[in-house]
Amino acid sequence: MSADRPTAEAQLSDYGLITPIALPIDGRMPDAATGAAGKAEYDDYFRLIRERPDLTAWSQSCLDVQRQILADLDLTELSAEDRCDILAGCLVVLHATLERWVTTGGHRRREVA
Amino acid sequence: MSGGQLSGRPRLGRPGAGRVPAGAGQAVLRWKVGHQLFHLHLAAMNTLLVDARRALESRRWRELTESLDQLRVLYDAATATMRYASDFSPATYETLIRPSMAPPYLSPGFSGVLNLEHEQMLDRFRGLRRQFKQLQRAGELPAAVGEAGARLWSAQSRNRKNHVLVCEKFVPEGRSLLKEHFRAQEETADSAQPAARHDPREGEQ
Repeated sequence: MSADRPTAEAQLSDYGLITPIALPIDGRMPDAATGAAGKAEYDDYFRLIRERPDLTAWSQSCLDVQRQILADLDLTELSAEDRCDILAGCLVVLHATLERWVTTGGHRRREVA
Repeated sequence: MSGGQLSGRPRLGRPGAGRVPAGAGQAVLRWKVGHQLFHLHLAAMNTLLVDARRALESRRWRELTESLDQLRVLYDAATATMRYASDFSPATYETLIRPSMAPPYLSPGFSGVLNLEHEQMLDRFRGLRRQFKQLQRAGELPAAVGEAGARLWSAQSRNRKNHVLVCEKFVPEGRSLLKEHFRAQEETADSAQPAARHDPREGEQ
């Protein structure tokens, strides 16, 4: 390394000129009441992980959640209509997901050809 | 519990430890996985609402009707999913679920208004409905599209009624955690009125 090149330590510390500032994880100003619950805490409670859009991760989430619901649905006190509504919703979500996979597959086939 | 993973939070026992009702594990699973399914439905609805808005703006009526009907199915699914998520006794809610969403496990004011996908869905829904009604009043909407819209607004109405029923099942007097939080804030503000000057050395957290 050249002697006159700034060291990594100097770059990291910004030569002592810059003081870090705090920004909320959800990109918004905190609630008026300091310490009030925010969206990140909501996500944490329900085990929701925010990440870059990815069809595989989305599909896996659909499979995991729907599998658990389907295994439990018969043990509930829900009416037949409610169960049917839940299943119909799952079908619409899976249908839309499959359409995206088919579209993705079509693009890949065209790229290979 | 997620509270044990939050930085700076005390690691405490489970809410209501020592008097956890039977079927507690099943209740937690339904409450949390039911909400996860609700979020998947909401994400799909947000996607369809964007599709529907585009179809409406470009007058693609068949696509719009299909999107509206799929949205109706998802709205009814979301309604039923909320019933699934709350398919346990009021006693279990009071002794296990509700405390898990309140201090010291979580910050005060925890509530469904913090649901990002739901907030986005309501915004998009309002925008679509406003534009839809404008075209309907102008007589530009085909009858079949108007009927699909009416089916969707009915599903939204059913969802709102169901939400009220679920709330009444668990909190008959409407004592939501958010309402309690704001009431506590008002009481704190009232009691602090005489001390007009704020000392920055106090209350730093």
